[in-house]
Amino acid sequence: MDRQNQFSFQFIFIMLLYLVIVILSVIVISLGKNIYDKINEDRNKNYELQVSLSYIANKIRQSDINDAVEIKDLNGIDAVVINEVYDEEEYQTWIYFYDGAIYEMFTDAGSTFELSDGTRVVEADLFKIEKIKDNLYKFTAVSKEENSELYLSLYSKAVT
Amino acid sequence: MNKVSLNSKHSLLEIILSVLIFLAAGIIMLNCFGIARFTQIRANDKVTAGAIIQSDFEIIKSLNSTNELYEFLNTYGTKESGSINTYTKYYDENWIQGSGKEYAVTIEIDDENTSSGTLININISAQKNNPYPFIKAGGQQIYSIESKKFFPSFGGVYEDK
Repeated sequence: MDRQNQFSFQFIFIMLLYLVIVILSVIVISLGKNIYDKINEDRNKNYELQVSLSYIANKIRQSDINDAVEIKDLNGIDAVVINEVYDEEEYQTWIYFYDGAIYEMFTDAGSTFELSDGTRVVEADLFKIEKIKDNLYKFTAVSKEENSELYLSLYSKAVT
Repeated sequence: MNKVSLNSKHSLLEIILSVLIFLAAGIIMLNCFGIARFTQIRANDKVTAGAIIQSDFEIIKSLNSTNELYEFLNTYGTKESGSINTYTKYYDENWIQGSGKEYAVTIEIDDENTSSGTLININISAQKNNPYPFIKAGGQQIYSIESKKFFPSFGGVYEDK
């Protein structure tokens, strides 16, 4: 009888240890999942906020020569216009906010286009351009209720 | 009736060992998760601090005189004067200015006056006031940029302004 009791106690103890392993496994997996989700969420938010601003900043900096960069009104929204010359032909790159994203449109200078014709570059809830003074502009991107700002000083004194 | 055959003495020892090994592995895994999480937070902080510092440098770049520079620097919350003037603004854990002191962005300004103008040595850095948990390397400094700006007394592109 004692032997049987001892056997059943050890069996229960072993099962309890298995249970501990299972519970710990669930905790570790669940923690890992939560941390992974949080990292991914942060990464995506960061990507949307920063990529849009870095993209604008790089585009402007690489073209920051006299009369190359303009801030223009495009159907009621502010757009960055970069004027370029290739093979003596004038082209323009328009960067603007439309339909929940930042769009880029490369076109012949002076030609007209629909806002939806551009290439969707990066998602954003809002993208705003503010002129602080002659050569200083503030760009604001909003994504998932978080906003990020970047000031850019232009050597070329953007035409508005 | 089926009988369960179990060599309980060996089995118990093996299972206790397995639990211990599992616990050790679990602690290492949780530590790795912690490191991953705070490395991501640190990467995000670096990006945010980078944007703030670059914006401040862009603003400084657009200024035309030392008076404008000091006007801009006075928008920073705290000032410490000395051979190098230090201006600090504080941010909370969500990088909102003025509502906490989790992060600090500091500008160090060192003037060099010459007969032709003023050369300003500028160092802007961002620090986290409390160290990141789980991460030992790298310290509390998040981002730092050093640069110079010369404000000429006469001439220069801003003379006519």
